[in-house]
Amino acid sequence: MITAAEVIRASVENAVPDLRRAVQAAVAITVEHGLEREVLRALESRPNQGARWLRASLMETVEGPKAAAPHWEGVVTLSGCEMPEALLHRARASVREGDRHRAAALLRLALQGAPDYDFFLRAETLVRKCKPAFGCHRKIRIGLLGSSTTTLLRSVMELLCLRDRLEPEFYEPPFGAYMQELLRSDSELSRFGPEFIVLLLNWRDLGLPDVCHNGLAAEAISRVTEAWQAAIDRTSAQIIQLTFAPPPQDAYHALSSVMNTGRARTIRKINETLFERAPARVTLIDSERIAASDAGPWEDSISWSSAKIYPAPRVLPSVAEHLVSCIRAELGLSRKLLVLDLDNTLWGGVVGEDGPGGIRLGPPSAVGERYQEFQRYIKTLGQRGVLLAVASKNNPADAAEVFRLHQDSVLRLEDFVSFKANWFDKPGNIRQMASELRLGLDSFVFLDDNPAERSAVREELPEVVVPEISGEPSESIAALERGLYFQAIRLTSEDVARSASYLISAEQEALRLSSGSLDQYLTDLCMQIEHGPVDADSCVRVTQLINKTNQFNLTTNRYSQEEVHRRMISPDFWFRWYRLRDRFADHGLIGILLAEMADREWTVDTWLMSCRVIGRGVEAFMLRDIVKGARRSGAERLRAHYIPTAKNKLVEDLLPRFGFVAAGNVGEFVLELAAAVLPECRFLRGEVTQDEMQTGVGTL
Amino acid sequence: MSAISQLNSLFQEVFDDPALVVRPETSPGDIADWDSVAQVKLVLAIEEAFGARFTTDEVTGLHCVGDFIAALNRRKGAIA
Repeated sequence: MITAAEVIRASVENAVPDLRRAVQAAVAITVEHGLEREVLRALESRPNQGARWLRASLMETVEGPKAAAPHWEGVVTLSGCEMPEALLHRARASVREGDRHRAAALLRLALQGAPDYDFFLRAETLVRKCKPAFGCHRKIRIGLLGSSTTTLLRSVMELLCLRDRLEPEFYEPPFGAYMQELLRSDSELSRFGPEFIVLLLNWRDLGLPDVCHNGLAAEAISRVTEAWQAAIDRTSAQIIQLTFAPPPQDAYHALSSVMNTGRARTIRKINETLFERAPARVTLIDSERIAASDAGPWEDSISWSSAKIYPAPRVLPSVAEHLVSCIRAELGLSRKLLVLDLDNTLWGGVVGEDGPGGIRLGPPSAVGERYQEFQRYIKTLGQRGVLLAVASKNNPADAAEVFRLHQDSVLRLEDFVSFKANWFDKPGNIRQMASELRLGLDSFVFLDDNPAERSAVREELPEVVVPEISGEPSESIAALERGLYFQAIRLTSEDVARSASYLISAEQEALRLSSGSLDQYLTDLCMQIEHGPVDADSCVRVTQLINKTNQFNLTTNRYSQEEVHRRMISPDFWFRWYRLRDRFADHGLIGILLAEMADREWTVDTWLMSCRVIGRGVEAFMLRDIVKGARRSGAERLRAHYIPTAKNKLVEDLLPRFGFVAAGNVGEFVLELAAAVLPECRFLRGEVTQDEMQTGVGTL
Repeated sequence: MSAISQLNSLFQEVFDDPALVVRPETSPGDIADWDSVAQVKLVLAIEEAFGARFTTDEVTGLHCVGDFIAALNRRKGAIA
């Protein structure tokens, strides 16, 4: 018999297209019927995204924002991307606890995630309360002049400005009075002294009938240029204006664009002429490009008739994003450098594991083609003056080989002004890049498919913009398009030559920079490790890892399924697996330790780890585990070998780092168990699983 | 019952006031920040939260929380 609580649980677990609404409905039904406790119980330890979301929402309803805060932290997308909705809840909880700086950081991240208009409605008051905590560097004065209600646009622009550390002050003339304000020399507007004037007009202002005979277009054009001239004469502002979008409804249908006198066609001619006549003080933004990239319709007739809102509320965020990006560009605050991860960001797969021939880049694989398309997009950014750099956890030779030899790689080594492929942490690498290139970190954008890397860079280098991407290449392009980080309103010859000038000064070898708040980052990951003996359930994955792991692999011994099975059941082997989970993702089974047991001595046969989790301290945990096991069995020492290959330089110093001492043969090391000092393992938390006796858990 | 509790948490969010309690008779006179701009924003936020679309007449006739509930209930009836 299925209970009501289980039905409610299922309603969010199966809601794919509109999860938020499903969760809202589930909360309402639960509260209405007083089922809070039952539903929370039904949701316990359900890892599904909808379940986590509903649990956080219900916790908030039942216990309040403080108790719900940790639950909101687990609400991320399937690919580990942060969700504006969850960030908003976390920010609210932070404010209630008095931490406005934390709240501002969370809200900034949410606002970088291109939230929909609804988010702005619900976040607006909260953001204003946190205003001082946004750390604004500069005040700007913006005159918002329009023939429609500009207040909603103002709110969205205000939030985006604060996100970008700009503190805006707005002036909006009384409704419908924009032209009078421009023409009067002693107007409030000229006293306000705007640095920017946003001119928000729409097709109604052009006064065009369905069929536009000669002269009408010219008249409309001169009305607009007259407004420009007035603004230029009476203020010192840069003027930003959207081009005119034709009305969505036109009884002439297609003819409106086909006939020489059609209204849509006339409007396009007007736009064209405005582009030609725009002086340097005027920046025109193509509204049809915004409309084309946005999911919703550009106009909403009910919002227009009831409150004179133009364009539709749903497109206000992307309109505001364009306006603010032009403001940044004019102020010289556009970003200059794009730092790219490699594996699963610029191509599919892991070059260190799969080899340059095994990665997905270019045809015939569909996803390979999209990665190639993404590379082409990046290459074009580079050609128009955006500096490109690489920060990747890889052997430098493996990474460079793709750009040197892969025939489908559009990007080449010389496209990058800095190329950091190594095993140091990424924030350190990026900081070093900034000092080598003499660029401020506030001109950096960092693109990485790995949520943990993104979080590390944000934590340590808050100036760097880090868009949320899943690694799907077309999504990476979309993220760059939405953010408009590299907006430029003029193209100069310096832009085109910029990359070359940086190449000369780049790339000196320097010491690894201190790790700063790396500890904080590792703590924030809320890592949990689970481990146990290799058994029937795990042996397929174990065999797979044994045969494909190249980099973090001490001996690179390869075993067939049969050989793994034999060691699994033999009493002479100690054979363990390790799984890692953090707040972004369950990484699954990522580590293996295999040792042959003798009376006095254990010999490590295999010690490997998936490269996804390098730098998390899992190896320290593994060492503690084996030492504990060996001590318990009465062994006195651990013997281990490092067998070098072309790929495993990463673990060259693993054994000496953990106190193993070189023994007789080359690559052979010994750890005396009585005297061994175990490495600290502060960031990994264990959790209780099915069988404490069999499956080890907890901190070692 | 459920509409009013959902509306209540929405009002709390929009005005960022966790102590706010709305009743059907609550109107712009009762909440200091509920001005004409806030009214427009509330309408849009409620439409989004309930997946509803109000008509022009409804939008111009929403004067208190009870009016929102009535407009939402009319939709429920229409679907059932």
